[in-house]
Amino acid sequence: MYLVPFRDPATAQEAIMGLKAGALLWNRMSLTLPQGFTPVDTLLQQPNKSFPGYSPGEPPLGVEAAPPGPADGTSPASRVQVIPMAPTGPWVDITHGEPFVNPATGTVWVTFNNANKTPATVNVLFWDPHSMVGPGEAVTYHPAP
Amino acid sequence: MGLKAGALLWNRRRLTLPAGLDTNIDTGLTQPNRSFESYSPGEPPLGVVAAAPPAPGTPPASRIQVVPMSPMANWALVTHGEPYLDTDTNTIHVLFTNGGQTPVNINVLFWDPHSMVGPGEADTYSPGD
Repeated sequence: MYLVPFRDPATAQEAIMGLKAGALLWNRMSLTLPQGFTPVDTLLQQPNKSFPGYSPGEPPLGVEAAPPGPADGTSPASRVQVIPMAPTGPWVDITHGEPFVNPATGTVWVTFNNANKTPATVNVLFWDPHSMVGPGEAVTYHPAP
Repeated sequence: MGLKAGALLWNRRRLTLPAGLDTNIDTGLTQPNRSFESYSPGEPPLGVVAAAPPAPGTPPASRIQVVPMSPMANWALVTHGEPYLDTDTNTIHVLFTNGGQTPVNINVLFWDPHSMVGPGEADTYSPGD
């Protein structure tokens, strides 16, 4: 539970958003991707930094790297799920790299590649399946370089 | 898979499916807490218990989510059956079919939305016969 100091209602929501930013476990976004590569800040972060101690062997949020991120297939795989959502048509020419932690923001970033010559707008769910009871595994989104 | 095999609630895989063939995939997922059903009556099961893939549409629906992931174009000719609990491995298996004429590589998330606080429902992935 977050304790938010009393403040004007007009700014209270902003304060709540502020507290959540960087502590998100999921974030559904609508992205407009120009042709080529676009790094996107998902705002996901690991709320409990001691989590790896509770779940040894769980895939990490991602390797630490500056955008555009690590080479495709760089291990370890990120446990962050990049889930395409409808409409699926615009996704046909879209690929993305392995999610990574940007040390400049402390949040998870994903670099998308729009191979089409026109911008594409996609809905995407970024999800960290972090759970005390739900271990999981992941392989990299691409084979090793 | 190692130490966690058989206790996974999610598993993201990169699969290569040969052309024109069925491919039976062991997701590695199973039900960690066997008393779960008593906490969440009516929740869809992991899947029917069987030694081989059930016919498409065989109820009850599995609560396992088979989530297509990018690149989506590679999924165009891929279908799959209802997830089922394989009696040999005690894990969830899914039968994929690549209807194309060339092998495809796909990313897929297998997810058991098991939760003490989140009951759910599911239809079978295909209609019954």
